[in-house]
Amino acid sequence: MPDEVPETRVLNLIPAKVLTTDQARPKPQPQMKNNPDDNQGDAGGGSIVEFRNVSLGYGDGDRGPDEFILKSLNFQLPAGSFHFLTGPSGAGKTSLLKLIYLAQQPTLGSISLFGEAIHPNDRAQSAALRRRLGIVFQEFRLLEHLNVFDNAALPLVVHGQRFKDYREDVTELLSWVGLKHRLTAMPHILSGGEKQRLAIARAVVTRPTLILADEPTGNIDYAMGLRIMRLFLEMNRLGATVLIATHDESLVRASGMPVLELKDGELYRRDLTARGGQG
Amino acid sequence: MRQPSGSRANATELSRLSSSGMRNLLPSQDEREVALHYVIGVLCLLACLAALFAVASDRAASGWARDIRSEVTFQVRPTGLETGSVAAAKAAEVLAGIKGVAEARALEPERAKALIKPWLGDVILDDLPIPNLVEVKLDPKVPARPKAMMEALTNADIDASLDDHSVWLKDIEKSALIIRLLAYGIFFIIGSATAAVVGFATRAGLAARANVVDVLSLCGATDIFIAERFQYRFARMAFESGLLGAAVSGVAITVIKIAVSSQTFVMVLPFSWSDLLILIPCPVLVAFIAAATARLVTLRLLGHR
Repeated sequence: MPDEVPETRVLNLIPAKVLTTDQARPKPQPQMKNNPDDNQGDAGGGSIVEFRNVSLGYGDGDRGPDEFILKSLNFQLPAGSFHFLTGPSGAGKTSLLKLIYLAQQPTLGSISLFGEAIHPNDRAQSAALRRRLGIVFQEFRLLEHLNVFDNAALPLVVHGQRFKDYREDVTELLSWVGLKHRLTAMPHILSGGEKQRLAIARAVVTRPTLILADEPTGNIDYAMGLRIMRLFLEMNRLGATVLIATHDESLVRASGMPVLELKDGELYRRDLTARGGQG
Repeated sequence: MRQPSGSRANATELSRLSSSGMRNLLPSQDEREVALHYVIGVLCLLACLAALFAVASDRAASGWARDIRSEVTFQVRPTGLETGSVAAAKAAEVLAGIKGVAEARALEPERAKALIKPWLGDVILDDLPIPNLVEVKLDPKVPARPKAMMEALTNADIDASLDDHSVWLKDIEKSALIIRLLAYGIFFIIGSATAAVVGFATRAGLAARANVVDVLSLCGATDIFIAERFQYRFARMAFESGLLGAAVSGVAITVIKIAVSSQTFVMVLPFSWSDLLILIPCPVLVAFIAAATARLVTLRLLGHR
């Protein structure tokens, strides 16, 4: 069971050095733009993610639109918003997240992140943008040769922080996600749930501007799932934009946060019947 | 450090945390890298031996050239009724008085015969006219000029011709240059082989650790940050292997210097204890080559991902 550390304390201990100005802004109401023309002038200000006619297809570029996994998506995630991304297996949730964290390039259309148009071949830009992201991967992607503590601290090392500066904060964050007794354990001896929690700790340790989580509660029990959700909600309360891809309907209902649903390559708001991606 | 609260990890656990594991971020070495250690070590050993042989052969050639430059020989031809020995003695006396000549000595006929004997044998020597030679040792600091010596002999009515050993000198200098170039060439080839081996290993390492590189990239690591991890890894490995290679070559030279007493060997490769100082920069140079190669290869491969 996780150790009892107050959430506010955990969020205070996440290093403030990586706080960005986005997080200092008042939290706007979550919204979704259906028409790309409505997005004009928003990209540089309140929009953290902006998709403009984004399609994604696998294979050669000669495929017709029917074979695209994502079809002409147009949407924005405003700064400070919190969304769930749902949809059946194979709907393209992970692909959509990959487009946002720049692991994939759209076949058609363009994406802006933090108000910057993404240049697919600009690796320096990708690195700079990714430093503002916190990503929880479905398959965890922990480094097997590093222990729990070092895995959690990895983004801080990449950010150039020193061991003595982050040791205590990372330790406390790991305590909060229930890995206090596993600090020096190697990932291969962790259970699925422990790996999940470690992946989440690694994603939030830099206090990112945008948190992307792919099934973050898939391997943990309901109680821990709620606890992890509280962490995401607190991060969101502090200004982080959060997008969580999940199958967990109970978690979605419990949070009451807006839902984006991927179906047949198109994006819908759960409470709307109109197609979200077609304007 | 803040006082740990009840929720914090215990002190023992905390004390076991260390930043050392994060210095490299790459997994510890596998079997391929052990083989790489060996190959780099051997390459460094060969590079060190090449450097040591270059220095020793250079010293030998310089010594021979110096010896040859410090001596000239005059062949004296008797005039009138005087004998060859008398003419040679007279020439030696004249030459000894010239500034820049340290010593001038007429070569006795018996000694001249002894010098030729190994090539011509006893029988032929009896009938062979032996040249009357004068050996002149020059002052190494201010050697007498050949022209001045010839003028002095002419003024004394001595018929003589000068052999300044220039034919031998050119030959030796040419041989020394070839040996030196050969050693540098071997050194360069070994250096480039080291770079090629490290480049190959870096490619393999990058492929084997693609997941690590991906995670680092997704955490926001720049290509340079990732390249530095590989650079550090291979530089350290090359330095360790290079150190071992240099140490083995040092031991080999020490054993040769102590155990081999052959005068011919000492003449051809006159090793000096100070030569071992050359070994010090070798591991550093190998580490530098490895670091530069690993960095360049990593950056190039990441750029093409």
